[in-house]
Amino acid sequence: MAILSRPRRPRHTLLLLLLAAVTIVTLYYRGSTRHVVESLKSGARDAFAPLQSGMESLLRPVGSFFDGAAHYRSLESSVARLRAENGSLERRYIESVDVRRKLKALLSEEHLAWAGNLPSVMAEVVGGATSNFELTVVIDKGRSQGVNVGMSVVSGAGLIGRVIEASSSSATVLLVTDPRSSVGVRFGPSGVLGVASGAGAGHPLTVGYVPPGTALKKGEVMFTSGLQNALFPPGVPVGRVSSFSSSSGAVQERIELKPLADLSHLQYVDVLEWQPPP
Amino acid sequence: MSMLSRFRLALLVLLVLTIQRTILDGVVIDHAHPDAMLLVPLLIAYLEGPEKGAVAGFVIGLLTDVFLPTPFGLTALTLTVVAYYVGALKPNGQQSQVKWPVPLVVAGASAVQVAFFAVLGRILGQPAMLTNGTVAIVAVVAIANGVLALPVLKAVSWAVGDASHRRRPAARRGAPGSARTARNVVVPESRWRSA
Repeated sequence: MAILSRPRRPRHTLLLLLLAAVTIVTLYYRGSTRHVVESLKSGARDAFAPLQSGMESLLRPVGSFFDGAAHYRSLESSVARLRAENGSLERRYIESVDVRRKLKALLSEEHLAWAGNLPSVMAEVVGGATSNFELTVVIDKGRSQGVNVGMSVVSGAGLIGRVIEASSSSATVLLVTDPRSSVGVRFGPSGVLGVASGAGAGHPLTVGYVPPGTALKKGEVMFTSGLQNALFPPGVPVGRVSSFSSSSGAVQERIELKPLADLSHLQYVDVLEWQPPP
Repeated sequence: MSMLSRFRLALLVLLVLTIQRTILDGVVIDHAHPDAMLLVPLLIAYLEGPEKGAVAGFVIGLLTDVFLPTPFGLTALTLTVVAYYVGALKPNGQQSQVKWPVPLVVAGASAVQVAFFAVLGRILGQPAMLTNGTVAIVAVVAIANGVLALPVLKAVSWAVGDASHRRRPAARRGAPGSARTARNVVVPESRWRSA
């Protein structure tokens, strides 16, 4: 009895392809060809964008129909609740106009940029995370509309993230909940500083570098600190304290922060035309 | 592979990419979404053997990397290896003695690719790619790809011009593609020497 030997050619092909792949990864990591890869990625996304938006406009009504049919009862109650909320918000808005005028005057005296005064570009979220390993969203505005890498992205509720990739017609936004994201935060009347880091999808942000025993209360809102070389402009609300604790001997408080913006249901966002100082 | 097959495959890959970006990226289950871009190279490997599988894994992996914020080339690297070994179940387009169910092969290979991708990402300095949540990602991608395997197999069979998954009659004894000519087939030494 004998066993026929395996053909050698496929293994040679595999080795050749592996060598090519390892070379590509290495060149990308060494940074020498990163700008070439980024422009290639940007070009490919631009080329694919019309097809993607065409398919989306084709499929969105179908998806909305099934979504609406499946959630008809909850939609009815949502409409009633939103009407009531709208009335209440209108009243509060009128009350807040005067307060905002005073706040803006104070901030201009302090020479601080306030996120509300920064020019912004409104964008629609057209896609979720393209990778399972990154918490990102894709927006329909890119370099040709003034959106560049590093710009902060906010919603009406608060901070969402920052732009990490931009092609001419779309951009990728890294959400604050991504483990790679860190935000300098400030809170309380004395302006205590800390760093809020992402802990993954479905998890609150964790705030570090806050000394133990710092006066803190549940529900307290933390804002971007805007310190020198910060990645975000100052004064943008980030999240509410959902829990905090301090064990004996600990060098810092253990604080969890729930993002104010609903990051799982984003539709329209504002890209602040503010970039961190070089 | 003929020019027509390559053209069909290119069309199929473009269609799968569009479906992935417009529909499947939004189907989030436990913070993970299906990854249909793995299906085409894995099924090409299953139908056509390790060499074509590895080439498809490399090319489609690079295309996938263009749209991902993860390190460029990582999908190509992992998919090349996984598709090669899926193809080794059925080398050189011949029929394996062991008939693996397609959904099982695709689910297992998808799980291995995602885990391999996460581990390599961590080694390359992306610690967030290998966390407790990685298990959920592996499970969601494996199950979803296993479910999608059969319909996509039909499409890939059409693209590569493989009739075996379109109710082909049983293969002739000894003909190319039949079990008699498969890798590792044990034959009596007397017959082997006389041949």
